[in-house]
Amino acid sequence: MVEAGWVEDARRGNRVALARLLKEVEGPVYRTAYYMLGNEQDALDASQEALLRIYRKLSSFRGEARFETWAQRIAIHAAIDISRKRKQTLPYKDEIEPSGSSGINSTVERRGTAADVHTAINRLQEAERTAVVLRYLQDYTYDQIAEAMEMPVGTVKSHLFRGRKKLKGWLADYKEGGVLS
Amino acid sequence: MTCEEFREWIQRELDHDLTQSEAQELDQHVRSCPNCAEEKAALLDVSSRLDDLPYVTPRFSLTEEVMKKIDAEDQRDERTKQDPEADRPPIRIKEASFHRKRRWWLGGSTVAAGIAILMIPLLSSITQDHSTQVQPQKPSISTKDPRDQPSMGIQSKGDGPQKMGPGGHASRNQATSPNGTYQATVQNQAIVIDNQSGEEVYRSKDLSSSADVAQMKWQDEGHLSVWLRPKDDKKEQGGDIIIIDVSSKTETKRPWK
Repeated sequence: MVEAGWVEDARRGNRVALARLLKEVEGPVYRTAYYMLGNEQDALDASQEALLRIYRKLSSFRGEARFETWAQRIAIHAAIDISRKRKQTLPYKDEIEPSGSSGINSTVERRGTAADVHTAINRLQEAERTAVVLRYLQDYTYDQIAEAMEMPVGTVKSHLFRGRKKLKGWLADYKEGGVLS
Repeated sequence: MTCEEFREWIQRELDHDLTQSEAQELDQHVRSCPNCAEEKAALLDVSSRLDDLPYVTPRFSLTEEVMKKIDAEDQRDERTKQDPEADRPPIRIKEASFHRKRRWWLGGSTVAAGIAILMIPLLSSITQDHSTQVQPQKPSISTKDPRDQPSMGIQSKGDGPQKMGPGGHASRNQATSPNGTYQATVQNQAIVIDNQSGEEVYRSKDLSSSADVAQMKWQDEGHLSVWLRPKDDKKEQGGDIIIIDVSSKTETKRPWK
């Protein structure tokens, strides 16, 4: 838990407080980045970028959200920025993925593994993926997700529900040995 | 209630959002509706698989890495503070000969001869527009070490009048855009706008040494307004407003009355 006063100390230039603050959120920030992006290297890049942004924006943190949720918000943006950048440099990524090394051949072996779920999460739209990641990897409530995504609770629910429904369909396909798309 | 509505309850149940009575009602429905029962089983399966996703952790301390970067940044800032010219690219000598012809004065504190000559074009580019509104004060040229006088007109943090013109949260020396995409700072003689990665996306024309930045404020995510007040304006009224459009990398200036 980030304690009251840490942010203030960090903001005043206390390095120890700043390091403690970043240390506190680095795990959750990394986890979000990892599941938003689907690979370790991007996750490391995105979460370091997120921590830097947290530091730079510390002066604008007004305490209207919990610090942890605010940090998640920044992590999501950092992950989305990297994901969009990757898409620009690899325009055909989405089409390549299903027939790649982890494609059809290994579908049977991978049945029911975390890799299936992970791959499926990556196929979700940004907002759906974000809602799912915050719900399951951060164990957030609707309200907390809404705060992190800066969206009304109703919108959050529809992203989460739609995301889960899509995952249900895709994961059923895997089970039947079908292809990804 | 329709199956469609119960489907939403199935989803809400996964998030522990149903009341006890709602849960009972759903349970009753599911027992009598094979389709909803199947839906519920499938979604439960997805949900438990999502619950089981590995709890990944970074393989090295991200905080440590980031603190190193922050320290490096701070050191750079420190260097810049001590010597405003330290991080400045070599100044365009070519332009100097052109601008030197113009009769202009050096306001505030002037620095060692070499730098002074180089700064003239930078100072003059905007100040000429002030001439209609501002009575320039007599120059007081000195040859002090620049380190003694780090601010060339634009005041550094903490000094100067606190009274602000327009409202807003931003300070005179730093302003972050509403969504945090950009950060504007007064550096040396210019307004510098950085993106979230700390990369410079815009550097304004050099500001007049006769004016202070009274305030900077983001009008929206892409437009920064900068209020400039002449230093010798005792009444604290009037000056210029510069509006910077980050996306088109342009700036416009209009009088501030």
